Amino acid sequence: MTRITRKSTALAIALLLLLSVMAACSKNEKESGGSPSASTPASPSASEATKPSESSEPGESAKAPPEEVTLEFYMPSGTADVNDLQAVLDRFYADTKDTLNTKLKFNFTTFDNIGQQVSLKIAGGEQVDSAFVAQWTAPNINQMIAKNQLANLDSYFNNDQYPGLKKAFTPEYLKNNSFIDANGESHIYGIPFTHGFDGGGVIYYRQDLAEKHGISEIKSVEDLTKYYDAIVTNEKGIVPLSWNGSQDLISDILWTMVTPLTTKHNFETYVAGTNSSIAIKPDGSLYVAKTVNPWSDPEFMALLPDELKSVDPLAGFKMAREWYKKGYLEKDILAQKDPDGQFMSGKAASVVRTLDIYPSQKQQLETAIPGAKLGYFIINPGYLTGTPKAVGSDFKAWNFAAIPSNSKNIERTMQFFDWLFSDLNNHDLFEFGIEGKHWTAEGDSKYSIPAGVDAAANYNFPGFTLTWNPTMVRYDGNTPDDVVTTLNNLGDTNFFFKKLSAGFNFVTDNVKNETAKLNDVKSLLRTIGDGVTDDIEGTLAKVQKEFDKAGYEKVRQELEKQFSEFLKTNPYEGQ
Amino acid sequence: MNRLSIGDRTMMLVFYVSIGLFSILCVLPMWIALMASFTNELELIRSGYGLWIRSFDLTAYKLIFTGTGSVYRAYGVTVLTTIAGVVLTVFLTSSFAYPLSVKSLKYRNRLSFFCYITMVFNGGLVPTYILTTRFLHLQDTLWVLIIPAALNGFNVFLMKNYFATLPEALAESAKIDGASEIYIYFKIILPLSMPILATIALFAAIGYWNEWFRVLLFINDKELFTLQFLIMRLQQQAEFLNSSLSASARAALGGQTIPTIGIRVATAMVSIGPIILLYPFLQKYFIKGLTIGAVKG
Amino acid sequence: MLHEIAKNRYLYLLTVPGIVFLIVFNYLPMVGLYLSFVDYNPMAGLYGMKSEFVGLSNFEFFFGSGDWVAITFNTLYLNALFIVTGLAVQMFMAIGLNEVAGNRFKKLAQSFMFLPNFLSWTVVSIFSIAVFSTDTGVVNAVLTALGLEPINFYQDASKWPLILVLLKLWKGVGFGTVIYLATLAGMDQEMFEAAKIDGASRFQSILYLTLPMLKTTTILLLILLVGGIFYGDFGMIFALIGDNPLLRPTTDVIDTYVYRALRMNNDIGMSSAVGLFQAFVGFILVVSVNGITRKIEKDSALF
Repeated sequence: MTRITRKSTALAIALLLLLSVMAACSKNEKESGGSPSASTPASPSASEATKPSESSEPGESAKAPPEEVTLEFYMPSGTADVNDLQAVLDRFYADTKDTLNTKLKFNFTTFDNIGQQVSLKIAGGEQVDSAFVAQWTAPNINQMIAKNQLANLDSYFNNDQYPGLKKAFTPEYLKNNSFIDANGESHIYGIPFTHGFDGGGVIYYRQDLAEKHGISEIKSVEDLTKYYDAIVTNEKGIVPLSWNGSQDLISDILWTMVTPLTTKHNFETYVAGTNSSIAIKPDGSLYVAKTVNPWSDPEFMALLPDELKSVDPLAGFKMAREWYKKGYLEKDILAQKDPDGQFMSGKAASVVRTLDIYPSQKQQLETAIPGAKLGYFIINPGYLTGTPKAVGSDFKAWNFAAIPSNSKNIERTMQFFDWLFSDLNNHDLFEFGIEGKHWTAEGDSKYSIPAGVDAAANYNFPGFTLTWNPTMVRYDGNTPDDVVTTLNNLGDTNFFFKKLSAGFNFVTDNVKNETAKLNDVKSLLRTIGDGVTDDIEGTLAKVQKEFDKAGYEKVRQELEKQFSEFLKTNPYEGQ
Repeated sequence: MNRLSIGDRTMMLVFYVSIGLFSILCVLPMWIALMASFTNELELIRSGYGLWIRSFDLTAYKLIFTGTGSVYRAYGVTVLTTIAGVVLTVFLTSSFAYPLSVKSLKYRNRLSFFCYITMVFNGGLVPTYILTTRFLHLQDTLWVLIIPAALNGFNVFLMKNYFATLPEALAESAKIDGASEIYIYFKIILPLSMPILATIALFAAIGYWNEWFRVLLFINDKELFTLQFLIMRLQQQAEFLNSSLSASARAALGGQTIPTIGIRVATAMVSIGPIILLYPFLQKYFIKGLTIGAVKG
Repeated sequence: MLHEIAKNRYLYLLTVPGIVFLIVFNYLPMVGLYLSFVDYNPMAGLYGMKSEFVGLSNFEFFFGSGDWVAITFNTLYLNALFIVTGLAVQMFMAIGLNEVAGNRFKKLAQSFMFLPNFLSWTVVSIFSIAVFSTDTGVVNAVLTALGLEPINFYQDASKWPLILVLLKLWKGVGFGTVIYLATLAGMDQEMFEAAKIDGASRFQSILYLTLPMLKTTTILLLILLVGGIFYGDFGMIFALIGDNPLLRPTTDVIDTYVYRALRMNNDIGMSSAVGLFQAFVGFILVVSVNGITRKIEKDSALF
């Protein structure tokens, strides 16, 4: 026994020694160089354009590069690290040694942790120079702004000192991506990143199966139902439409498909991430629907354009139920979590996604199922027909890079972004990698991967966290022309009409508790939203009761107050 | 004396059957998962799970071993932290729990209560984070994975309970012979406590092996990523994209490829790995007849 | 007091590393409990210590929802089921493993029982879809083969407490059995020899010798588990049930509700408020149970 004890003690000591050596070696030698920027800091709260000057004495700054600073960026990414990132960074450092002299450290984390990580780092007083925030992170960008955690970036845009930013971010784009803070003022609190102003929802379907049953191409809802009928009758074991029961309601998609287009848009449903819908009365004032399903509120309906007045308030739900009963949707739709896998494996005949991933979707399908052909049906009739001003957008991006208000390197960070957007080459370096090695350019708007490059090991920077911009979009060379046209439309400001809520965001601080309760209640709609139950009206009434119990009226009034305030500076102009 | 009564024979039958059935029920899904991890993912979705590999495919494993960064280094880090963590846990837990079990110690109940409070109330993520990074400076080191998880109340009470079942006569007679408390602890109590030490070592090993949350919070240096972290990352991404995300949010993320089911099952297999081997190794401590007898001595 | 410490100085010395550890890693962060009562802003003062005090308003979103009684009941009910069935089955398995002959059978069975512990609930949920699915699931295939009506599991809330208990048992029994096995391994064999000589059957030995030996362990585990009875098993329930509102009446627990409510919110004050509630009531429960235990079985009490 003694031998064992002594041996194990010795082993333990040896291990601990080894560990301490390891720990000492792996301690981060490179201390995050937070040497404060040598420039005069631009005050973040002033809304007038303070001139952020970086030692603008002529002669001198042109010669001597500024002090080296390392910026810490925090963003999410699908992979733990980006391949070949160091090579790209080295190129960047070589190019900008004399101008920016800035080192970048990208800290990647998981999608659901980015909000928490940024909060913790700010709470701990660590250096955070650029943090990824969005409406879907937790905490979301609205919350952080309401608590004055983000710096006001107004002064860096539309400023000749920052030509890159000025070019890539038009005043209109910025206005729609500004946020209202706790003082009721609207400022730019984050750099928006997006390609298009709408995802472009489509239903990808198996064109080979469609052709097999006599449908050459799906171009309308009738074609779609014919396709589904054919699948139900002839292809047992294949689900016509696979859908993730935990995400959006299918009834919303169906509603969009059958709603008549209209030219007057004085209403908007599910404004700014709330569960409320609004309409503008003829006298210009605001009306907020009283029910969670706006079409059930007769006062709301009365304010709608004529084409929509006769619409059945329960149309979306009824269609979802019909589709469920006909077998278009699978019985266990509420438990389905992997619709893409279903589609790619051949167990489903169609799936809902967005158009921008067309090339990768096509490649994946054709590899997975030999003989399969990818077809797509655009959900929104406005896109389908290419009618301008038929579809609305609030032109809001869903990704932002924000700078904490207590960051010491706000200017340096903005200078980097300015450099990034000043030239297509700079932008493409970070988005696609080193040209020739990671990608090849095809003109100004397309790109391709060089032959022989392994896609899994290729540079895979998450562009939506740093570089996406509507003026600098490149499509995969394999994208067919019709897809390119639609995608171009989606990125074209003129193609959309401006939604009522463009530029508005709802500050939830006063109704924090109610919003939390409503968040939970909202999911009760799933049963009718996914067509699982017959009792549409009963469920709707029940949900409405839960909503009221959770304090919906209070939220409604708060929304009315804030939006009316917003309308004062952004009145509805009849379009 | 060899003939068992009817009652006994029924009882033994019940034991054999239930243990046997339950074991099969436990191993069957594991076997199916193992087979599934070697199967082509789309084939899995198409035809469901089965007892054999229908369409052999190493893609899932390839993705894990090449796509997630240096898996080998991560394996090394995990093994190291697990071993160190187990040693520290066993030492710390037993030295704290033994005095609590000595009946003559006047303040032992107060100390037990002191320990129990830590099992109940937790200050939350923010103060823990600030303490660990700003005051203890443990971030980006291996220590943050080893030390904070070493002592937890559950293990302490398990050990205390076990020590209390050892006959007091042992310690008494040793004391009469002039032995000091430390001698009693090391030379008499510990050797007799192999079962509980093995149990705690096993629990600790599993805990350390599966640690990923601390890596997520405190470690940025990719040289220090643990195996479970790399794997959880893969799973997290899939979870997040398939969770209740609105369509706009999902579109905003671009065409993120979602790992399918095959990946998730394969990652489960990879993460189990060596830890399964630990269990049979420690098993001998749980089987009676191997450690008793010391009482007499 | 000093006399006591001097008398047993080496024993108290042994506890010092543990005490220091607990103070540093557990007690120091406990200052964070005050976060339940503020509107946390990390930028208000150093580490957000100047955040605004809001009293009990962080608790409102939970207690003001009207559902909290039902949700708390679900949490308690499910956990009680888990605890009782878990302990019973673990004891059964441990005693059984102890009694059966054949080392190889024992070792193999033990190892196999331990395996489910390693599968995460996410993987289990993938399997459960395969098992419980309406059209293609194993259970319904068996039912239809027997001529019975298939059950729509994912829309029928009443079936799920049973399913959850079975799954929890399946996953957790191996783990808990180890604890009991360790206790059994330390038992004095002389007693059993003596009993056998006296003519006792194995069943009687188990009933009168083994079970009492396991009493203290069972009481300990019971008290510890009861402390957590207000904490729902979020990992399990969320992975298996997800966002399915039809199954909520019987499976929604405190933790899943909080998750759904704060999902897009991450309000530290609100989430720690509910956590404080769960910790506090669990604590009261344990102190009471422990108090009762002291009256009956002084040595088995926790403290």
